[in-house]
Order: sequence, then C-alpha cells, then structure tokens
Amino acid sequence: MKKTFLNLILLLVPIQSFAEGSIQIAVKLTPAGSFVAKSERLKGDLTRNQGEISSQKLSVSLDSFKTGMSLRDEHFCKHLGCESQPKAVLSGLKASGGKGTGSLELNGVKRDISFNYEDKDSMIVAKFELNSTDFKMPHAKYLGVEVSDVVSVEVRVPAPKK
Amino acid sequence: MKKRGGWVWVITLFLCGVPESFGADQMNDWIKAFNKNHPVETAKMRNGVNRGEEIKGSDFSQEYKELLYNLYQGYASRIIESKSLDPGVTKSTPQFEFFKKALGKLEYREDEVDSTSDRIRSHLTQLEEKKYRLRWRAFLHYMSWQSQAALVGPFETTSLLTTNLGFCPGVGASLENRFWALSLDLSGLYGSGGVSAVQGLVEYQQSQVPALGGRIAIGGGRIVSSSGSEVGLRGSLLFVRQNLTKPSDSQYSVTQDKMISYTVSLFSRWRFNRFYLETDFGRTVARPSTLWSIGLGSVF
Amino acid sequence: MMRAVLAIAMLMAPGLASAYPQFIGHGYPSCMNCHYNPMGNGPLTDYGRAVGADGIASGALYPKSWSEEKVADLSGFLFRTPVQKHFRVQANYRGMEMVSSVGTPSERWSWIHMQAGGQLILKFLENDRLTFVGEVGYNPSSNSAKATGQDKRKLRTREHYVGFRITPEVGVYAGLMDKAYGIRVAEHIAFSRILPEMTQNDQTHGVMIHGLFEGWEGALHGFVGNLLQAKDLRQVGASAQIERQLFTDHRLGMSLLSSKNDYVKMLSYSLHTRLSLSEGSALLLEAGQTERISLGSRGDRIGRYALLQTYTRPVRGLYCLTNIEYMKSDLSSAATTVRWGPGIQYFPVQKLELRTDLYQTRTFNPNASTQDGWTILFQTNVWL
Repeated sequence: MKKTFLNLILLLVPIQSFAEGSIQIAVKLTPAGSFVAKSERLKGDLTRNQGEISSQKLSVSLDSFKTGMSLRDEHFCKHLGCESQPKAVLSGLKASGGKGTGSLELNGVKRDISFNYEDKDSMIVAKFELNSTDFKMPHAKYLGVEVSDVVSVEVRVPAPKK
Repeated sequence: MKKRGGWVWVITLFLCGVPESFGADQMNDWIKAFNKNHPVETAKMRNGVNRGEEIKGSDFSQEYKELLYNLYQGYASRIIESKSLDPGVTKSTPQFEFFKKALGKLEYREDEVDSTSDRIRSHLTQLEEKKYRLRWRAFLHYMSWQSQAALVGPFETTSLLTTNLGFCPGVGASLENRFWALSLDLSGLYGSGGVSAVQGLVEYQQSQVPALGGRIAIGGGRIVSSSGSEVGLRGSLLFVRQNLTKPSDSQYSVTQDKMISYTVSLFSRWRFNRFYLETDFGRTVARPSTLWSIGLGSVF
Repeated sequence: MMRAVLAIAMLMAPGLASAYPQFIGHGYPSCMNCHYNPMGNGPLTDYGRAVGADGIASGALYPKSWSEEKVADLSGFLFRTPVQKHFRVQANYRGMEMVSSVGTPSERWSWIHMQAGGQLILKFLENDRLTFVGEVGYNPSSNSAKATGQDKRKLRTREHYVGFRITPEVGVYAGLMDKAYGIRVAEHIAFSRILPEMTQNDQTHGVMIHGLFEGWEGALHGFVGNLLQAKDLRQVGASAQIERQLFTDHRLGMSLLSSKNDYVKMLSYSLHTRLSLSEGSALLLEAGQTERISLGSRGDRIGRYALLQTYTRPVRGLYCLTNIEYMKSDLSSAATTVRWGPGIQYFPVQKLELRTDLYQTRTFNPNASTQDGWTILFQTNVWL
C-alpha cells in the first residue's frame, strides 16, 4: 500500500506549475507602428535527453492570440487561416547546442523551420522569423495600413532540468 | 484488502479533497482503478509523462483512456469549485496537469481537454490575481503646498500666504493584488517657502522660510494595466513646522495655521519594472489650500 | 505680462481636429497610420477612423449584436463605409465651457466654439501617395481682437497642403501646416506650445520633408510664414524634429526651430520622450527653451518650459490624464509658474469625445506669494 501511495505521489509530482508555454509574434506595420500578438496557450512539452531537446508536438490555438485590439484579434486569427485550420502545430522538434529544427503546419501548409534557442534552466526560449507567404497567406492590408510579411516569433516552453 | 481500501480513501481525501461534482466515491473508484486495475498501462503512462518516453495511443485500451479522461475532469471540477488558492487546489493541480499531459500524448478527446484546460487556466489565473501580497517601497517626492497665516495689527488683520516647495523622502507598504492596492506611506518633509501679504496696506514679506515635517498617507487604488499603472485616492495627515518671523513692531503679531492638516488627494502611479513615477494632487480639508507632488520610487 | 498672455491664450480657441501623441500607448508611435499629416493633427485616414472606433472608443454603448468589424465599417463619414478611394470629407465641431477664476468674485462661465469646420481630402496613386488636404472653419475672435476691432475674418483655414510620398519612407508636403517641432499635444494652451509659438493660429506656409525609417522618424520644415498674415508679421525660418525608437514602443526626440520677422527673432530647442506603457497608458515629456530677441527694441528674453503628460486607461474608452507644466517665461525674472491639470477624457462612442480638465496654476516668486488660479474646462468634440 505504501508503495502504491508513493507511486501515486510520484506519478503525480509534475510537470511543475500550471504554467504553459507562450508565444509572442512581433508584427510591423507600414507606414508605421507595430503590435505584438501574444498567446499563453501553447500546448505540448519538451523532453531533455543528454543535451538534446525534443518534442513530438507543440500546438497553439490561433484564436488565443491577443493583439491589444479586438478587431485586430479577429483579423489576425483570420489571416493565419484559423477558419480552416484552428491550430498551428510544430512537430518533430529537435534541438541542441542553441539551434533546432522542426516542421510547422500553418494555414494548411507544412514547412520545415529552423530556430535559435536559449536554455534558461527551466525555460527554453526559441526565436525565429517567419515569412507568411511561405505558408500561402495573402499579403495583409487593412484600410491602407499594410502588415509586414516577415514576423518575429518568440516561443517560451517550460522544460525543467531533471 | 479492506484496510488497503481504507488507506486509499484516506490518502485520496488528504491529497485531493472531495470533488463535489463527481462525488468522492466515484473519484475513489477511478483512482483505485487507475492504480490497481491497469498496472501495465499505468506504468507506461507514468514513464511517458514523467520521463518523456514516447507512447502510442494504440497501446492503451479505450476503457483506460476514458478512465484518464474521467480523472482529468474530476480534478478539474475540484479546482473550478475553489474560491481561493487553498491547499485542495494546490494538491489537485499537479494531478490535473498529469492527466492533461497524458491525454495530450494520447490525443484523446482533444477539444474537450483543451476547453477544460482553458477554463482551469482562466480560473487559476483569476485566483492568483485575487491573491494579496505585501510590497515595500521607498520614494522621494517633490512637493508643493500653501499655508495661511495672519498678521494681526492694532487696527486690522492682514492675510498672509506662504507658498512652499520641499522634498519628501519616505517609505511605504502596500497590500495589493492584480487589481486593487491598499497602501500606507510615511515620509519626512524638508522644504521652504516664501510668504507675503495677500492684500492690504501692510507689507509683510519673507522668503525661504524653512519648513520641516512629515506626512502619513493611507490610500486605495485601482491597478489598471498589467504593467502596474495605478490610480487612486489617498487621505493624509500633514505635519509642518514653519515659523514665520515676528514683526519688529510690537503692535503686530503673526498667527499661523495649525501645524497639522488633513488632505485628500488623487494619485497616479506608473511602474517601470521595480521603479515608478508617481503624481499626487489634492486639497486640504477645511482650508483653501492645494497640495501636489511628483516623485520617483522603487518597489522591493 | 505673462499672465495676460496666458489669459488671452486660455480664451482663444484651439484649432484643428487634434493630434493625440499619447496613442503611442496603443502601439502607434507614429502619427502616419492615422493622420494624413505625418506629424499628426488634421483629418484622420480610414485606418485612423477605424482605430478610433474599435480601439479607442468604448464599446459599452454599442448593441451586443454588433461585431467589431461592423463598428469599423461605420467609422466613415456620416457612418458610411467609403465606396471610392479618392475623396474623403470630415467635419468637426469642438466646443468648450470654460469656467475661469473659479471661486473668486470674478468667476466667469463662457461657452467657446473652438472649432467648427470641415476638411476635404483628395488622394491618388497607389497607397495614397499623393494627397491634397484642405481645411476651413469658423474663426472665433479673441477678446482682445474683439475689443480692438481687429481680425474680423469669420472663416479661417488652418491647414491646406499637398503631400507626396516619394518612397514609403520619404514624403514631401507643401502648403499651410503646423511647424514640425516638439510633441504636438492637443492642448494649445500648453506652455510647450505657447512659448515657441506653436498654438492654434501659428500655422505656416512652407515645405516639409518627412522621413520614416527603421527606428527613426523626423521632419525638416522650411517656411515663409502664413501668407494670409501681414508680411511684416510673418515668421520666416526652418524647423526640424527627429525621433529615435527605443526598444519597441518608446520614442526619444529633439527639436529645433529658428524663425524671424521684422520685429522678433526666435530660436527654440527641446528634448522630448514618449513612453508607451501598454494598454493605452503613456507618458509624454518635453523640456525646452525659447530665445526671443526683439529686433530694434528692448525686450529680449529666454523662456524655459517643461511638460509632463500622463495617461492611464482604466477601461476602454476612458483615459485619466494629468498635465503637469513648468514655465519660466523669462530666465531673468524670479517668477516660475507650475500648472497642474488632472482631467478625464471619455470616448463613449466613435466620433464623440467628452473631456473635462481642472487646471491649477501656482506662481513661485521669492518676492510675493499669490493665490492659486483655477480654471475648469468641459469640452465636447464631435466629428463626422
């Protein structure tokens, strides 16, 4: 019984806090300005194994991004193709030595991406740029203000060291 | 066997409390089933979640997956019913996380799992945001205020007005959560002012009259942004000692306002990480005088 | 003397549909997205109207069935979605109830029509590279002008220019505009606008080059004075303003303005910063100095000013602001003025702004102590 009790405890000792990963996408506007779309609903986890970091799948619901304006939230979601594919999925992630690769599926298009990352003990912070045209997204423009096709992405995923 | 069953019951209660929506009995049955009825699957799942080993959905029975889902929703119910971050929530959250990850790896009932996860996250965030914390701060303000006095003569009384500027170094504490803050600030006051007659034929004028004192302020504010910007109201007790020179003519004397005054003011605060800028604008109660200050501070 | 200038300034009406540089707090460090005038002020672009409707104005009074998209669609002139690309119209009314000398025997309530006019915009080429903007409106006379019988014009134009973006980064604008200098705050009575003579009737005819690059924005402005003004009064000169983007959302800038007419030569310079504190909160700070040299007579002086404008947005549509101003109109004088102005600005629905400000003015003079002056303003701004 004690063993069962202990097993139960061990089973359930986590995964740490409830904190999930987060994503920030910095978007530039023309003629001027910018905004950051943020989501704190990145799902999935990372595994460490002898210096290598990997993940089967990380995903985020596209309607979870907040840009600071409700109308812009709607436009952002639609632009990313949330009506046809509600989630962006990164699969087959492998990383070591500050660099990594994975396969990103967005707007029905799957492409390999590469990224740089920093290992901050319990958090992996990865940064990369994306070109929306690579994922067959149309050039975004609203009432004369254009959105840059190239955006900067920062992903934070909890990955505690054992 | 009965004794074991009894221990499981006690441990369950100890660990998780009683999830009202699902009933204690129901949860206990599920936990028992999880521990005892599916040892191979549970061991695989444990390794998969805790050690990151790859697991395949096909290695688990439908019955087991449904059991995981029931446990997941059971712990979710316990959390969602809580009104504060009580021990029950603290203990239920890791269990909830475990089953969420397990179901995520199996990709079982993903939409429902995500929906429940979002609700729980939102609920826990709300509970966290409601939690009050004590914070300490130190600050330096630059303040201005006016005070009245009277020059009493044999035939008339002339109003005198002093306009002051001074520095207020101080410390404070606030009990705050994400939305509300209650604060207490104590500060010293060192400054000086110029005094002159407001009107009348008699002339009286003095400059740079030293002022020494202190201020105790109690306030309540609303935190309006995630960066910590705050607006609020504050009541304070201002104590100022400032001695105007008595006229050389013995027929005249100077009477001053009481050293203690009460003010009500509106304050705003903008945080830049640990540091903040604060402005304060208010009125002295029962006296026609306005006080304002601007300052910088640091939160600890 | 300065009090008289202030009193006159307080009684005069501000000009165009205002610039709101504090909207840097919404992620818009440049005015170009929302205004045809790249330095701010003047008519709003289609995007500016939509942002005003969806991001700035409160949504509390809209029917629940209305989506944000519908609200944005109603932001056009007369609540219509524009159906053509080349022609836009905007009409503005701004009125203010001013209570001056509050709490004194000379307390006075007066309603002032600050602005009543219309703007016409013509735009052509891809991305509206070529624009013609014209404004005409009611010209309220100041009390002094009324008393002396001067300035009988009932209509006035404060802005008319043609603008051409040579590239997306660089544009040229020629015509009547505000000078490029400092933070273009909406409060025309601000010391930062009075001292360098940047108030509601200080527009000038000239040519401005505007540049917007990665991390930098600036303008160079050469001007010959307002051609509708008597020749000897026209201030001829040049100004420059440049801003550097700090981190993602903040700006740090400096300005220089030099001009002269037959009577006065002026040199103004300032430093400023605009800080975005997210979710609509912002801090604006400007400090500068103006040297005023009288040609052929006495009266030279150097004046110094500073402005701190703070904004917090408790809920969508509502802004709590404070203007804290400092002025030493003449460095050789002992007197200094500090004005404190808490206020509330509320946009209940799109195209409507309600605002109230309380101004307390305190003079610091080692030789005399004077009672604070109080003014209360209640403003309404409607635009179509």
